[in-house]
Amino acid sequence: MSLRERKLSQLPTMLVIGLVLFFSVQLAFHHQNRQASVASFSQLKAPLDVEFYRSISLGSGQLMSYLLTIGLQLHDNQKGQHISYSHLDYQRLSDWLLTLYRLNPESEYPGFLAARVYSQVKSDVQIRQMVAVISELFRLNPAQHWRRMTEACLLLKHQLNDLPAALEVAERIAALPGTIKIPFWARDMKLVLLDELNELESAQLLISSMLQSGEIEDRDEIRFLQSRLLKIQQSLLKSKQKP
Amino acid sequence: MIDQTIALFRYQLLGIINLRILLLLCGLLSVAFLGSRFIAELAILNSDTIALAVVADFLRYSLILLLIISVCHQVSQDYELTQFDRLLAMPVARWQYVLAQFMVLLVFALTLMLPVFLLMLLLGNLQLASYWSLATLIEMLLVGQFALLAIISLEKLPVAVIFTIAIYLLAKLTPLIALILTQSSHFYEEEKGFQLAQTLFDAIQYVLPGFNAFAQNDVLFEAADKVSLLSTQLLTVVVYSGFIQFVILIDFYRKELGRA
Repeated sequence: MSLRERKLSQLPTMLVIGLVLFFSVQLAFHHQNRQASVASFSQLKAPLDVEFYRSISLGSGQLMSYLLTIGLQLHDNQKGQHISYSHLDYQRLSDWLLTLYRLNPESEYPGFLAARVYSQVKSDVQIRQMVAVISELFRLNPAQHWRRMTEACLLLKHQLNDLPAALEVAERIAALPGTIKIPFWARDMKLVLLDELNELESAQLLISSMLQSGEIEDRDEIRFLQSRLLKIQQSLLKSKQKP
Repeated sequence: MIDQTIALFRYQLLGIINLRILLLLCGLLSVAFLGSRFIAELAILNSDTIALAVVADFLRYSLILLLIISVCHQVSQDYELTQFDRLLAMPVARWQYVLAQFMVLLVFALTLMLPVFLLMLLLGNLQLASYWSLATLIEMLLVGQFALLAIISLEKLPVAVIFTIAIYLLAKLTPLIALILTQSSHFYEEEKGFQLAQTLFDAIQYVLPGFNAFAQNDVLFEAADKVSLLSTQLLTVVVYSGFIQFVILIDFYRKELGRA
């Protein structure tokens, strides 16, 4: 048994008008709601004193620092929506990253977030703020943060097209005393910057060198860099295949 | 005399370890495991260590709460059901009751710690699992004795539980109180009330266990001398336990039991 369908033109006009009307209302309502949800995005609050966080941690200072870091990392997810990083207050974000580092100076997490997560925005000002965070971390502990500085070099050169600033950062890495053991490629970042490599090629070179140097011990970061390297290699392959 | 104490211990033990506690323990372990996996998914770096530390602290606090309630509940039942009248009619000294309760506490804490050790071993390694289980066991013995002191002195379950938690938190939050006093000293340094509070706080710290009496969660993130930490913790708790046990005994011996 089959039922034959009527043509739309045979339907009562009021039904079609009703459908169009409510569909338009639904679109307008959703659009307005979306704008409202971005507007109602609650901004980051300024971090409190490091000593305060340490004293309320009940003796678990490092765990507290990591939980606060995860909380910060999740701040761009609100009311079931992912808000673009560019909506974040980067001054407050910088304060948070530095506070978290002071709370747990052993942690690589704040530097990682600055170099690899929050730097992935289009705004030059915001990228520069993240580079400033990395520079500050490097000033506090160069032996721990030289890798983030090499990433800052690439951010400055390729995201901001600011070669002089990138070279300046590379010089700071090269000027590190010999007592701080860093690989040759990191001391020679200037050569990488002056070489005519594009963004993807530079990133590929940097990540491969990092992975091969054995400097990275965290399994999560190795996994993260490996997947990043794979994506870069795929993009390079595609760009080469294009006529 | 030893036989009597052991008989009393066995009798008391039956009242504290039961199916309900074991089911609750299974529930807590499941929540800890699921929570740790959730945290591990959220973290981009150090995910396994962060998850392990979350499990460790979650189990520490939830099991200590369970221990406080169980210990206080058991002794409060002895008060409510006039169990002490019957005990006093037997040739059992009061110190034997306290000793039996300590043995019950020890066995109960060991029962709680065994699955914690297994879960930590599953998520971490033998060294971390051993350190955390032993350190938390020592911490549990310390807090359990606080609970024993509270319930023997105060006799009522809710008051004793709240008192024990308050003492535990006070010991753990001394850095926060010290910070508040330091930050306030610029404004109230001259005031007598503030000076009194500061003196009182300094005095209270002498009768509270220090931070080295508790399990150190930071050890899970860094290479530390775990044996040395455990030895210091054990020594601190042994000294402190002697002090608490005598307070318990003095308080218990002063009580006029069975004449109400």
